[in-house]
Amino acid sequence: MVDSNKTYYKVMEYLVEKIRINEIKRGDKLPTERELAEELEVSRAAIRESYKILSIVGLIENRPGSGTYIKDEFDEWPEGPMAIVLKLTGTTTDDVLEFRRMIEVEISTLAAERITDLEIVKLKECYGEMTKVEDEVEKSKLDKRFHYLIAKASRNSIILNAYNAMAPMIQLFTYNIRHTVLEKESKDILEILHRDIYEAIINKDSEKSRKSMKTHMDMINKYYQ
Amino acid sequence: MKNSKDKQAYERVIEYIGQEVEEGKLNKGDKIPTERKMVEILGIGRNSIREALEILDILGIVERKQGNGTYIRSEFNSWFSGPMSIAFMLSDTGKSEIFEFRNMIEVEMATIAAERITDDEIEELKDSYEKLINTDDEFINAKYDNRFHSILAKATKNIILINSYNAMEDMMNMLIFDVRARGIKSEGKELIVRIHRDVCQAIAERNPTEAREAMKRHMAAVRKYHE
Repeated sequence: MVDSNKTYYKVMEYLVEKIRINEIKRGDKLPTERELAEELEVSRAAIRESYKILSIVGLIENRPGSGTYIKDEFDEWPEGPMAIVLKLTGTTTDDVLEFRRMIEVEISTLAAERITDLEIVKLKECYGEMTKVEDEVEKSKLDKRFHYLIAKASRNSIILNAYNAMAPMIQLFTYNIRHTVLEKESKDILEILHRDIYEAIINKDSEKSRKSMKTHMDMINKYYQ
Repeated sequence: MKNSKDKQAYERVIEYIGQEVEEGKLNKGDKIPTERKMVEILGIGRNSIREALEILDILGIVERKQGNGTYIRSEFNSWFSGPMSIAFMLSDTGKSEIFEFRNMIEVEMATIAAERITDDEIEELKDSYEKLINTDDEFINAKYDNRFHSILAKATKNIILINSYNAMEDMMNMLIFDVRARGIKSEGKELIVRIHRDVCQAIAERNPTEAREAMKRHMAAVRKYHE
């Protein structure tokens, strides 16, 4: 990132430095455009543009009337650019599933041990909706959210970061994966898979949660080997 | 998916580039159409085109060559760098959380790497193994230790895994140095040899079962130095 003289690289370097010395944490307010323009010796317009770019990519956010903040959680990396990388690298559903299987089985084990009461409420809501809605597009979104809530409940922010980094790809593939599985298996298979995971987690049964997630991952992997 | 009329101009530019890639008209290392050309094709203002290219630049998808236009990058092993590695830096985690994540992926990584590693990568792995204790400078040793593990990540050929691993590289560098120091202090350099030897051998023999077990032993042996 050093080989460019673009202002947004300067802003990123500034952030990296402040994070290194512990002056900036997640959710913290950033300097105003004017302050940062002075500090980095660039124009205010250039800072404004950099803040805009960094908020589009999902690192910071503008809170109207309040200022610019580092996000609390990095759960919205943009899908469009990701889709381009997937195509360029020939990344397929196989790769996504392989990585998911790698981390989600462990994630669900940890989640069962660590989930909070509030997170249980959210998971219940999500699961409840998933069983109710009919529309497959909506179901896919809830499916993705279900797995995200479990990742969050693992309470390990590195795991969550890795999960979030992959989230746009999951979003891009979930619909297709569901479609394939539903075509080949009985209609309620996905519901059963999710129900087993859901029940194990809300009962804080980590062994069962692990096994159920493994069954889930093995089932969907079967179609992409 | 949003309707095209709800889309911001920059999103339409990114979509256009995505389409060109999809159709095989743009590939790794290719020069993308000039800003002026895209203004003509898309009927979108130059500022929005520029903004889209800046977004793709910061996300490591294109690179801008001074006075020479914008190119699709030719390599994508660390496109999580930039904003995403900053997100990783902001994880408020202790060593035990990093260990938890490492333990999670290294065992799987070793298993898959054993199946997919190329001959060249085996040579690189052996080279790192030779060097991870043998220089006088512990900083350099630790660097090869780190390299040993990132070769395994690379050998999986799974671009998502490679990127997740690389995004954590800074964190991992510091951690490995620290864990080695504590491990060597209490058990001597022999520990470092022991935990890597079997992994290296199993992978070189392309034996996934052994590689998995060896990496499990490696992780179990260093767990206490992450606490």
